[in-house]
Amino acid sequence: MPVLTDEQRALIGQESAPRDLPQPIDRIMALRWCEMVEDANPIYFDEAYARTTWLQGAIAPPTMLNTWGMTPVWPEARGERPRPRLELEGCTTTIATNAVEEYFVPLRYGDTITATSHISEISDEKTTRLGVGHFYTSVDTYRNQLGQVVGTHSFTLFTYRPHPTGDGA
Amino acid sequence: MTKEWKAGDALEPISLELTLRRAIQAVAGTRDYYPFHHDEQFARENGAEGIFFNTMFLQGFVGRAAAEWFGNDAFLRRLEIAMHASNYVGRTLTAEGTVAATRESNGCKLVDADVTLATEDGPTTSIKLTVQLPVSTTP
Repeated sequence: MPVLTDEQRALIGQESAPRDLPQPIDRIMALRWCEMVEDANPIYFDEAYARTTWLQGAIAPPTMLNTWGMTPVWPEARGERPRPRLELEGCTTTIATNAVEEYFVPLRYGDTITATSHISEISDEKTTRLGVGHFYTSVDTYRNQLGQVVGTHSFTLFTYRPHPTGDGA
Repeated sequence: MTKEWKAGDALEPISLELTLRRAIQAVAGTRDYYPFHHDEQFARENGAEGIFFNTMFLQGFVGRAAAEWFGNDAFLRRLEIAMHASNYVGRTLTAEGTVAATRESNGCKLVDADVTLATEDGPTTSIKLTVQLPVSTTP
């Protein structure tokens, strides 16, 4: 059975040191994002149009917030994990259940972003259709090169020991 | 001229086919290499029916839908997304919803909406979003 240690409980509320995201806010990555969901919104790429709006220029898709911080798979990241992750004995699998993002300042191409993170809560042991484990929530806070908080991302995950396969679950 | 929204207004359905190619685009587009989203065998061994789409993809799709509903320069302020069931390859994903409220905060015109994502399997995802409507500009 997965058991929370005092050490793991003590993670709650501990804010990480700021980390730089892997690259600046990037137009080409935004194009791939829009291609993925067939998003033709000109506010992202048509600078002439975007200048005529109250946003006064092109912005990156707000929903990319979490994607900008995804760690490259090569070369392998060194040192600390980019965000605190709860690792419980026997819990081999993690799945997202809930996400809340808030966007305060539009991101512009070329912006450089730093992030800090903390775990805000860890549940008691739960059993779901997937397995037995714990829900936990990690919160990322993103700042731009001016020090403005541009957005927050709160992610609730279920880390669990899958039910044995073939038991009809 | 921006439409005047009111509680109860319908947000018309917007659909997207969840092909295997789109799953690959989603891995690349969101930079999420967790095996649930590209490894059929891993997904099955861990309690899923097969490859399913990740949270960031769903956020991106709702971001697109929000602009189609509220305008290209409406700025998304908040997006709360609760996954109840998986969005599997081979299905069609549809977003639709209802305006929950309109309000003003610090001079900003905000619209709150409740949105559901569904596939052929039924509703998969509940969403609450807030957009800030454009203020008129004099270029």
